[in-house]
Amino acid sequence: MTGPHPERIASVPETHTKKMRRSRHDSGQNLALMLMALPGVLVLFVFAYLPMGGAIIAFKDYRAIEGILGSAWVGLKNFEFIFTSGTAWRITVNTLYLNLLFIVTGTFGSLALALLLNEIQGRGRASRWLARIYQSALFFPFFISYVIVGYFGFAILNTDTGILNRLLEQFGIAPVSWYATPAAWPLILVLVNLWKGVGFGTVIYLAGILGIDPVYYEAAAMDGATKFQQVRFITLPFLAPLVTINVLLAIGRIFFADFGLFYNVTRDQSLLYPTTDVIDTYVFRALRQLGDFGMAGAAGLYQSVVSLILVLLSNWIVRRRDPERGLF
Amino acid sequence: MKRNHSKLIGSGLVAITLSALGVSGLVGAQNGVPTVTYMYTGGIPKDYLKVQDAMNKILTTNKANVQIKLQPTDWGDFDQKTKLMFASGEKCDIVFTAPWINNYYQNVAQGNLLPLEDLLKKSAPRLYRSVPASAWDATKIGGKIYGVINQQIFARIYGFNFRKDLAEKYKLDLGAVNTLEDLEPFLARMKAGEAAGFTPLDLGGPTWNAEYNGFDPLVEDIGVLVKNTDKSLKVVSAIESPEFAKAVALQYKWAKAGYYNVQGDPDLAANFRAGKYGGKINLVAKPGVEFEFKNAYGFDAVAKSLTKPVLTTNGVIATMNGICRTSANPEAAMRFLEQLNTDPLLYNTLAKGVQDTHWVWADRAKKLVAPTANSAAYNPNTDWMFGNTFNAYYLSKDLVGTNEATKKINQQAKASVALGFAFDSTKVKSEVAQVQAVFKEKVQPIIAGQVDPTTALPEAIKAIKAAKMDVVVAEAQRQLTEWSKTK
Amino acid sequence: MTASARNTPPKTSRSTRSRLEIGPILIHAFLIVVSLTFILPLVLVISASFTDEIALAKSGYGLIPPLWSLNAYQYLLSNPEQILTAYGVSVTVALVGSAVSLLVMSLLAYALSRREFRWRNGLAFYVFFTMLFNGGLVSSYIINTRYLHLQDTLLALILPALVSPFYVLLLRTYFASLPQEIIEAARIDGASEWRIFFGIVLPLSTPALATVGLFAALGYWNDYFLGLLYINDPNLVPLQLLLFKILNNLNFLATVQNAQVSGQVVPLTTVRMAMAVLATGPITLAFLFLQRYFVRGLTLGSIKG
Repeated sequence: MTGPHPERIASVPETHTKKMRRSRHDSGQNLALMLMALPGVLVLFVFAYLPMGGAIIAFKDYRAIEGILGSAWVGLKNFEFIFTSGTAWRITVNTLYLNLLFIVTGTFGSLALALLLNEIQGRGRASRWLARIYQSALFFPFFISYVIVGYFGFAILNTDTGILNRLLEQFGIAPVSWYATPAAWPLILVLVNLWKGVGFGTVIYLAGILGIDPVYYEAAAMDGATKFQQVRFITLPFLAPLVTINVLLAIGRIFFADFGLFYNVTRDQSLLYPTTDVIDTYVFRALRQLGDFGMAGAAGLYQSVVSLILVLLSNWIVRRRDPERGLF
Repeated sequence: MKRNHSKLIGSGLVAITLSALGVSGLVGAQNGVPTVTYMYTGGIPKDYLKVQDAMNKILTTNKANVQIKLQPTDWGDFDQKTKLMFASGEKCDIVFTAPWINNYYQNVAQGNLLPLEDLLKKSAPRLYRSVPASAWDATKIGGKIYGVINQQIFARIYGFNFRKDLAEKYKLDLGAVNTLEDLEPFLARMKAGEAAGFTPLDLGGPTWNAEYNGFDPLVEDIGVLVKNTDKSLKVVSAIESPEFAKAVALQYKWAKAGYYNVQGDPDLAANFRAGKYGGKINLVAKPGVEFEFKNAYGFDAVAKSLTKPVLTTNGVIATMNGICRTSANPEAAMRFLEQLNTDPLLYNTLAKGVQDTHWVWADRAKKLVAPTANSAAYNPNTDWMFGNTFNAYYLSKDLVGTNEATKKINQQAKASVALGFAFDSTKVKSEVAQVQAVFKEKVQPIIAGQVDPTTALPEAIKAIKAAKMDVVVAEAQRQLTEWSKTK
Repeated sequence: MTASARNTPPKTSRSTRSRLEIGPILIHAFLIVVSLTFILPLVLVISASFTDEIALAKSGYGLIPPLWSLNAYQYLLSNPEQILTAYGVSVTVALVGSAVSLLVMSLLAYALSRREFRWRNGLAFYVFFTMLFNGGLVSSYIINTRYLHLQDTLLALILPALVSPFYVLLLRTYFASLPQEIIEAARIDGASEWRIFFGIVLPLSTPALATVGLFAALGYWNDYFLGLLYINDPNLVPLQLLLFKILNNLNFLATVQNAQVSGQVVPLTTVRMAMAVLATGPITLAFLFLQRYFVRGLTLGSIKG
């Protein structure tokens, strides 16, 4: 629970300051900056710091009559249900593994599509017009709620009438009961996640590519660089900061990621838990069945701690490679 | 600059919306008559405020000295909202509670509800008398009543319904079917005779049922049970019982034979109406069930019960209204419940809408009503949520008389040995949580016939023991023994 | 970054032209296939929403409805104001929320990015610490309802999600990586911090702002949980929550459909699909039209290497 050392995080940018500090350290400037920071500081105070005391609920046998402070302390008892029978390990590993897959496939998918779109963008009106259509098509699924995606997945995957099994039948392959085959689900979830999210990344990366000054390409072409080399030595390096930011964003959201994906698309089928149960779905079921805020609080706390470790870790990796890109 | 500008417009918008909102949503006591709130679940019907007005008019005519404010809450939100309401100490008066939604046991354990016995005697004497004493006993936890029972079908009967056309075509001999196994030849004939996309049964998991096997479920969702005739009151874990092993073996056999859809079906109702299913095996084989079947799926039905009606705690207290600990005026709340359960017009106004707006009399002597063009604007469709369903008017002439028939079944039903016992999970909360998790993951697939029980069942038993099922069973046994002494 | 591009040695001198002729055609073919796969489910959803329910159950999803029916839309549009209101709420919340959120966050991030700011370290930790702990549902709920009285106001949908520490730190890093010389020069010219922020920093940061703003807007757009907790007034229900409620109520209807249904059968499956069309159709169209501006906004600021 101690987390990272606060001074270290906060003082990081200091290390590469080129002693720009002016001696003229006027308090008026400080005041102006404080004023700018103030709205955000206040919002955080009210919506993050005020409720924070409530986190102790994880260590209490919470009863409404007694209130948060008055309820009895129970130590780590509320954590027991997560940590017995290996559940904590499984849901943590699943969360990490699946999200890692999502981030890697999503990033590569978006980059590849953005590059392809860029290739045809500059080739006449018709091409540009088509490019916009592709772009829209790729973005479309983003707007469909996962609840609907879940129903749709069922239409494709169910054993008897599912479209996929009917297709397999055409090729003489025996039908598979997908909702009872946990091994297939990491792939299925990756595909669904790609389908739903790749357009978003594509649009962002495409914008990034379009923002690159054409001078570089012209120079490279003059020097006889191939398309591939241009991508490798101009486009990708230019995109690197954007990619880093997006990946970091994604990592930070891992533990608050798409509950809808894991819950609706798997249809909460118990047989799939070994490969699809993540912290979010587990906590959701726990709270719904138990109605116990102490245990839900404990699960939430566990989630925050793991998430935090993850963010710090990835930030550390990024900073080691390029100190300017880290978040803190 | 432009950015700055839009921000200003933005904050302006917020301010406007805010001031527009400030006015709404306040009620108070008028002329000294207290207003109580009633929170229950169901879609929020368009005309519920009209119904509220009509109810308040009736209350005024009855000189009930109470007015009502209805708070219908959507199905999806109800559990979450009530949990947070109680947890945060928000005020409320009357709230719907049951073992299956807005959990009654949890509410009592958490001290969210008021004990009602004195209030009932004082402010609702007619309501108190109208419910059989054995039913009141079923609500008791630690010897105290915390919920006002909505009278309805209390008895639990296990049985089946099949489409009449198929029952005739494939020669279902109702007289000869007394167990689920007896259905097998009929299921096989149906499966063989109908087209490829057809499934004889609509749902998985019907073969394992506590009541069908003569058990009274004490903690239903994790299968902690007692035989409903066992005077020695021995608590058992369902999945370790021979009945369970036998039931799931049959289930798996049916799954292999394709008698039902192993994965469930999100479009069940539509597919049923399209003729893709033959029938269902389910818990409530109550009077009027054929009519409900016809109404839901568009087919005539045949029905039969396979068990004698039994009264269990969960069956009796399936639907109740409680009074919140935070209520400012519990007596007024109880006066309202007295009215709701004893004045048929008030009750039917809440259950079916305003007379002559949402329904009209078809045959007053038979208590038969007919819908109007406006019925869709108020159609909560949940008589059992609000009060004594024996006061409900009939919506179809096919149903006339079912209230009396149901009442009779309730009276004839045999009481389970554990009727009136309620399990208090506070001491073994963490163990129950673990067992629940394992049950959902390892046992549900077995019950649904998704996995072969010969290998999966021993594994599940091992896992559930590791999750400390024995501790839960021992605690239930201790409480049950203690309870039987006070009886 | 740019250095590596410039240092690229001109190794190849053979003409790449002939290969580029088939290249685009292959790319087009590939993108057409991908686009079609992406669109297909949506076409099926739309088609299903216009299909008669029983026909749908019988013949499954298809590109063209085997039997047309407007029942699902009739059911949903019997109460059109509900959906329109929900749209209004969601659009307002997403626009106002993301705009205010972006302003508040970037102001905070800017202050944190300034090396001259005396309380910088303390405040950075203050922001960072909120990522570490949160108070959980109950205490937030108590504060928001009992003390701030946010229930049944649009503010309940906006304020709790206004400042995301993660985005703040992200923006701070971005601002800090801007060429400090420009800011220094402006300061020496006597520009105030506000002027520097609005006049120099913001215009230089469009890509970061657009990305974070888009994330914030989508966060607001997709959120139904805040609504679930704090909104009872039917006039303030956001679109995603409405979708959630309708689906839930329909599912329940499917299980209790009993004697009192008075003959009216709700076509559950197709209503679900129609709801998806109504809930997402307009916003998707809006996106189609706005996409060009959006991409342009993103590209306005040059990407820094």
